[in-house]
Amino acid sequence: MMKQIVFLITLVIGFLAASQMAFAGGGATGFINAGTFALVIELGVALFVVFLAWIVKDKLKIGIPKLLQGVFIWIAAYIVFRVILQPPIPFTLLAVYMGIITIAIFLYCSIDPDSWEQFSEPIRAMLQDDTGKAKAYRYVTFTALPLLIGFGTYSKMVPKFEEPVELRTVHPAPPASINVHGEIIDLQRVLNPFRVDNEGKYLDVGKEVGDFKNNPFAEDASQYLKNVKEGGEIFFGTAGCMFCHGDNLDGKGMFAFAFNPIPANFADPGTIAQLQENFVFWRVTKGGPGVPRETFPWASAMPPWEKHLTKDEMWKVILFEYWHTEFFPRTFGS
Amino acid sequence: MKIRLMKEAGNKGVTLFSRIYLVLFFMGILVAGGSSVTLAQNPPPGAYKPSVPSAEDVAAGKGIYFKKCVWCHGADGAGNGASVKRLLTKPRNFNQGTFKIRHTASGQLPTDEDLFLTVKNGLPGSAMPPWDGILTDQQIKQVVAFVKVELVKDRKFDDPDEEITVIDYGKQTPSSEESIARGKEIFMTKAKCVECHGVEGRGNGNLTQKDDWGFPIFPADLSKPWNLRGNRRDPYNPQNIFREISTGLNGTPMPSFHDELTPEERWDVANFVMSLSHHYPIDKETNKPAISFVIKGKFVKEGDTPNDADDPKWDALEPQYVGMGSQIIQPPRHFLRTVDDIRVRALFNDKELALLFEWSDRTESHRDENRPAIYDATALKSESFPDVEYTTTNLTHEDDEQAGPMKGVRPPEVGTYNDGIAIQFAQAWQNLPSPEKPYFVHGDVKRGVDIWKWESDGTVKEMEGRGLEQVTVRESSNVKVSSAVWKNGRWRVVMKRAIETEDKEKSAQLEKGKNIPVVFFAWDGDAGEHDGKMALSTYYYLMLEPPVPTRVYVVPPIVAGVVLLLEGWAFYTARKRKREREGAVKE
Repeated sequence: MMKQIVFLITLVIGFLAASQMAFAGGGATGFINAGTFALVIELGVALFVVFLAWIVKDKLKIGIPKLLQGVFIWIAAYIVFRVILQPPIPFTLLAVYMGIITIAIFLYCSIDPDSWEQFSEPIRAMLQDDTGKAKAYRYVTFTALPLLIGFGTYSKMVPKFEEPVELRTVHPAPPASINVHGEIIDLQRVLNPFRVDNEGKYLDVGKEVGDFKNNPFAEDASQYLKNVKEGGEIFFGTAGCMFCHGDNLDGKGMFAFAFNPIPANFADPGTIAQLQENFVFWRVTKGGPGVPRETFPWASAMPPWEKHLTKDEMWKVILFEYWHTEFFPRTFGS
Repeated sequence: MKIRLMKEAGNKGVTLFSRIYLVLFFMGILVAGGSSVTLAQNPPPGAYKPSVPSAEDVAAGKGIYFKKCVWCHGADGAGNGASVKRLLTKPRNFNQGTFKIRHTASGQLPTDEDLFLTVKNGLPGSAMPPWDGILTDQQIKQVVAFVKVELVKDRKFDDPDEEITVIDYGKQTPSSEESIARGKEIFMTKAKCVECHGVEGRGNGNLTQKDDWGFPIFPADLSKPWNLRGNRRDPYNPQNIFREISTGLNGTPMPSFHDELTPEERWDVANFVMSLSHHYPIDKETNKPAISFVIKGKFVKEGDTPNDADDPKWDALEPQYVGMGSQIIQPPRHFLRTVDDIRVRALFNDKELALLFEWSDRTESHRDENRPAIYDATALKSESFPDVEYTTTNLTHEDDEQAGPMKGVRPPEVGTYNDGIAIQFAQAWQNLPSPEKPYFVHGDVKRGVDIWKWESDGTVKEMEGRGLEQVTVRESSNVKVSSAVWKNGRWRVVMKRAIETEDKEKSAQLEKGKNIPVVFFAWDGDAGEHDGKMALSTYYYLMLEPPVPTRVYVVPPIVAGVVLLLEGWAFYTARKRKREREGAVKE
């Protein structure tokens, strides 16, 4: 019973690690679909592995030595983290995950003396036995291990062409107020003046959902949708946002491949869906050069749009971005 | 839950067969979910009958169209959505039923599969993105149904007079030196591909052609297969080239060679075209060559750094791919950069650094006020859309009172400008607290940059930048260009500078083994590019290969020795224990 519990815990840890990574990877490249998708795949793989283990052990009655089991799981995990998961994860993260896996395997194998006995048996045999087989294993291990570790040290030490690790804050804290075209705008209070209903009254966030599937080009479109349409025409025409943020607002526009950091992916739940509309307004008006040091103002190709667009146009673009991605801006309380 | 159910089933004695079936079922789910295999297969060669979409599909497709597609293709599908004035490859006008990428004979309508695959994979090199992963296959079929039924107006897919014949791939000739040589011969002589695409395929032939809608159109640069519209996100597959040679691209000057060339000859040409590009590994996220942000500088052990691009010393290095975007940040904003990548190599010795820049450019441009630029925005107009203002470089609000400090700023633009290339370093980069850098577009007020710029009139400048509006040419410059040659649609420029210079404050000093932040800029004079109107990269790092320290050769053997000792100790103790145990047993 104990074994099963440990096994389950291992599974859950591995699964959480993998899913978190899938999400992180998804967020970094702006693929919500890939993120959730990866999650489902991880779950599928985990279930499949359990099922396969059950088939092999209980049904086909094939016993795999404990040590070999551990090695298999370790290698399988490495392949998943290193090869299958795309985009590749940084080495430091890989090291952490493989560390967790290693501990989990040792925990699983040393849960009771019997199990530990089974696990360490091949190692003991390799060291102690006098059979020809044991001797062969001994010679191989005793030569391979120092060579491998020596080579590993060498490849760690030899100078390499590597980028420095630079960690960038994606959503920095906004200022309390900003000055746009001579007007001081209180970022705590300002509301999108184009989020309005047909009577011109402010449309509470969430109420626009009925228009998400409606045609902004239709003649009977609501006032909200008409504003969305103007926003879309600015996004695609006047401003040309799609060159970077993409025709589907997924951050994969024509110039995106050339830029680092890559343009924000609005279709990902980690960007505008996490932000208040006025935060987005701040980022649009002040662009790359307007962010604090931790967000790398020197590297972002985002223009300060106050130089090119009116305030109204910027608000309409923001309205359009939420309509197109079908996200709601974040609100706090009333 | 699932596991338990299966366990119970297993206990009730499920047959081995059904167990295997279950395994296969799970594997099937994984394979189907994990791969991006397209569901649509190419239809068999010969006569083809397009499907008649259901009214429900057309209605559902309309909903998708007016959310996702309308912004470029327009409410009537006439290719005149909001983005038309910004793009060089214009959005497709569906009304005429003219589609480029097809499996059908020249002039014919496309198959359903063709349209499906175009939406799914996008048209690389244009603004049309792959909709795979955004729209489901079902939704793509629906939107294709809407386009076919409602937006193609001049022809009808269900018209019995519309003949649709799917081409035959025949038997593919695998690529070989012989096949490539035969293909080259056909490319140069029989098929005359060279007249438009140029000797090395960079699209530098006939540059004065127009498409069916009156827009200027330029021959494809075959040395960048990842930018070819019909590459179906599989850029090194000669099938795509075979298909395009066979069908031609409707609406463009690219003809079909179906009747002129045998299938074998077309395969040879396809293999030759594939040989024209450097096969970089492709980044699946961007469908472009994978980018490494560290430019590797290699140490020249013997002799000087090369003066010439043809010097075999450069062969020690791969040309590194550097992606280029447009400078759209500050006036003069520019959406139409034609240089979308440059290739960089760096060699150095103890005295100097030599950089080799190579990039595709269809024309060798020189400043000439009287010669209109080839990609001039005003020349990109079409009579088909007289009411659309085709400006690609203008400010959005030149005369708007509300629009910030840049209003009214618009550079005069006359004729052709010089081509150019530049690399930018941060001044005194060694002293910047990591990861801080100057603003990547020519620096900022606080942090200056050192720009080395070459122009096609032969000038080489070293400039100090403190923002795009504050770039000054420095009087003393140590930058040299030893060779600059334009040939067959490509510039090759060798730029040099001493590793160390006297002015340590304003000139970047180079150091081995350090990540030196650099940015690249390129100008195509025939796109009206000059000064701040340019193509630009993001931040890269130049690293001059550091010498290998002696300890790298000393420490690893010591570590290996220690491991060996530990092994010996483990072996000794294990044996001792065994002896003790056996001793105990005997007693």
